[in-house]
Amino acid sequence: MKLTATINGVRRTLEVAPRALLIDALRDAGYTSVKRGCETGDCGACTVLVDGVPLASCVVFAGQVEGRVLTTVEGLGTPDRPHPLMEAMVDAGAVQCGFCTPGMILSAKALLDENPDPTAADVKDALDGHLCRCTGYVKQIEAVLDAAARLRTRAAAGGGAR
Amino acid sequence: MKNLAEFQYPESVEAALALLAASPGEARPLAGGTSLVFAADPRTRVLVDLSRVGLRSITLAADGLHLGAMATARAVGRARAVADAGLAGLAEAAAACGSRLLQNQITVGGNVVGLYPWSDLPPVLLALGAVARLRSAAGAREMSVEDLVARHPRRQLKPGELMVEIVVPPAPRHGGSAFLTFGRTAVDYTLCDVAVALELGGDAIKAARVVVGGLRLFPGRLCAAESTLVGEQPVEAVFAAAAAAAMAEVQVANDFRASREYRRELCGVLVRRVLQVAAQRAAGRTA
Repeated sequence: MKLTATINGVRRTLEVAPRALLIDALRDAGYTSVKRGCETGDCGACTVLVDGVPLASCVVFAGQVEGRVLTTVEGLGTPDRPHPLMEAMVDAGAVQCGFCTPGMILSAKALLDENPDPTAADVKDALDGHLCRCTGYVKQIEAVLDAAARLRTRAAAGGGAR
Repeated sequence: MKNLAEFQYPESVEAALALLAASPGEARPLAGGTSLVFAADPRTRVLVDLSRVGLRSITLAADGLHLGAMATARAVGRARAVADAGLAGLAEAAAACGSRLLQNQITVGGNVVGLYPWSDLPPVLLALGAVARLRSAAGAREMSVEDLVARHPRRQLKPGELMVEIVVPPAPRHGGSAFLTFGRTAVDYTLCDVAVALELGGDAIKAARVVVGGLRLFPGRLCAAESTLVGEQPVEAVFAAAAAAAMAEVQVANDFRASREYRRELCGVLVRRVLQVAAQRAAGRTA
């Protein structure tokens, strides 16, 4: 069946099997930042923003996002032009193998879109459901707080946040 | 879902009910999807996606708190209306559903109708005396959550019938509720959970509902524990007696994660702790 959705600002029509999961539809279409971890909704590596809300794409049918607006990490920034969340994750040393990072960045993005000045407790809450097996969790929390500060500075300077 | 052929996207409850009625046995309603994606269900040919039908509102009215079937666990846990209604136990159960990430997807309707032993909302809704509103193309009816979970809720719904709303009666003025769940880790399956709703009158417990979940297929009331409480003062010795009664009456299924004896003991501990919290809340509302 045909599935039409806006992915990272581009309207796309994908051919998917009716029982296809969103994670497979996206990875098959080239969005490989969406990681396949537990496949049971428990690890957060496959997180995608659907209309701005983080969802575990391994427990979502592709058909559920018909007409929706999707964001993956590919839509946030590039190696040349990284999003402040990406920069902050690298600077804090929150990335080791990197497998959990895209999902954490997207949940953090959803948090900062709603609350530009979160507390550490808010960040922990937003990252609940994301498992990391390398660095632990402290550096990711520091990174999100740092990114929030960078985005606020940028907004104050009139640069506008992405 | 090996024979799944299409998705339908109705934009009203009526349109969804018509679609369900048009393909009896072959059309199935789809809410968040967290458990349906795993369903081994060769009969379903059409999934009726409910994401455009509304049913997301959480509102406080004179007859109680109305939870739309498509309201997410995240929304219930954060809703001002739930706090205003004095239903702290409901907010706790909503916040205990899966992880924060999954709470964006888990719905009231899916959590109740798709009942698993570890589902967090049904025990507290049962304790609070909630009522489910069911609709089909043929009409509407109500069923208490207590009756709904006496068997599997999916078997209680008639073909083409949809749970559209849960109504939680207003908390009594001197009422308090609480929910506690316990697993090996924060996200592991529930070994036992307990929900309590208490009402105080004067300096005694006027009414009590104690519900245990996670120990068997369906949650259920612990009636001996409840009658231990009614008429007594809300003090530690009474809570301990209720916990002992709960441990004596509770039926515990076998589970490879923990022995029957361990889970029976765990049930007693949770009953005592949850009663302490609910009694404090009920007393706070008295003041």
